[in-house]
Amino acid sequence: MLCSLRGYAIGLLVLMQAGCALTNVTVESPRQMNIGTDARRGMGRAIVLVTPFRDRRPDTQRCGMKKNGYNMDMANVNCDHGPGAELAQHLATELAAAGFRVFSSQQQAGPTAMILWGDLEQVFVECDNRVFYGAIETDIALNLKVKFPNGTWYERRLYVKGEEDTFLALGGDFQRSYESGVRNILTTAVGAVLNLADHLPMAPSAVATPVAP
Amino acid sequence: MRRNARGFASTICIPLLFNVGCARLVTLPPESVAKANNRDWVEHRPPVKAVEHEVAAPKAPDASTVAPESSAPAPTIGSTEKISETPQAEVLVPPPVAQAPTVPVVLPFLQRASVQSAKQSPPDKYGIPSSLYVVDPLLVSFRLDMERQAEARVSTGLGMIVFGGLGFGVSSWIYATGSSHAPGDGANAGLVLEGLLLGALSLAYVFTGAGLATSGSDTSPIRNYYRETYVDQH
Repeated sequence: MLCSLRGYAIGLLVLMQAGCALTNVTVESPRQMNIGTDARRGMGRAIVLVTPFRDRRPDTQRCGMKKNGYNMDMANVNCDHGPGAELAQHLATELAAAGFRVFSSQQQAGPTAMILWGDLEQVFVECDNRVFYGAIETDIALNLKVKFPNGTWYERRLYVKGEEDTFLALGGDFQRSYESGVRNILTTAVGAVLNLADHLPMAPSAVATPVAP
Repeated sequence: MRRNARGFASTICIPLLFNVGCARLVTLPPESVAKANNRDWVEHRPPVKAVEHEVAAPKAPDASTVAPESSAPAPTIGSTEKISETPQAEVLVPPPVAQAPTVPVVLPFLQRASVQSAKQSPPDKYGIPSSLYVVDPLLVSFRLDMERQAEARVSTGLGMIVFGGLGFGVSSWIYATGSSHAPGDGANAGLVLEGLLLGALSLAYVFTGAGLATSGSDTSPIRNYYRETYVDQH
């Protein structure tokens, strides 16, 4: 009995190491991020957000990979839509929630508006297999650029990592890791844009009637 | 006994040894993420028009033409990289962008009385004044992300503890079975060895799970944001 039990145990162990990574999985961008940027820090300043972000990822065919216990690339993690368009759209929503007036056209925004655009340099979901468990990591790199009406422009590379520790690495874990990465890059990007805008003098058109906070 | 031990080693330990968390293939290790980030914005002044040979500053995409992909600028000043992507038809009409609600407040964020008083509140365990969470939703967002990460680590750690506990129970049974037979019996001595090895592996699961469950989460994003927003701006 012990011998057969041992055989089953060994077989199960080997399957755990080699299997469960043979099928592709698709991660979806969350419909609403709920970052909660309603701090009114944008103060009604106009900003033109150029969408989508230019996709400059090293691997544009997929958004990640599934690996087995031996670190072999076994299957793809795909995005349901282009991550450059989705991230730009989410960022527009969050900047608006933070108090900016967000436009897609400079004609609508006026000459005093900031212009924001960016290059998406990395979106990749990968399982980091550790000895006793795994961590599904999502790396997102976004190179943001902001140009002000006086011609000065600013550039900043944001690199964030979403992480979901897991014991079995199921499909839902990939989704949660991706959402964590998207949330992280959006929060970081909104904070960076807000801090940059706070550094600089406000455009006259953005100054409304002062109201007590 | 030696043959049993070798069999055990070759069928269980060797696959485990290969599964020791090999290097990431694409993503960066967490300690490299900070280096991949720019700590602050890099300022680029507009070029002097009289100097013709100077590398021109990138022109911001002309949003009025609504063709962002084709009119995107060069990535950095001085870069020799060519941008040769062809415009995609689908980006010619960007999706409508959300409009902000009417915003009546014009006082800069850091000058608001509520922010000034919140900065004087006692710091929490991350070193951030606790009342700042009330006036700065971004801090709340960073905090929620940290809590989600910590919850995932706790649940994973608990799963490992349960798994290790079950394994330890099985190993105890194997060890008891092997040790209940007559001494000197080679086969049963092998069972004793298997019980000991499986028990050690199970305990390793338990201790690793406990360590993971109590490891908390990465606090660098919220600390970086706090530094950039409330410390560096003074």
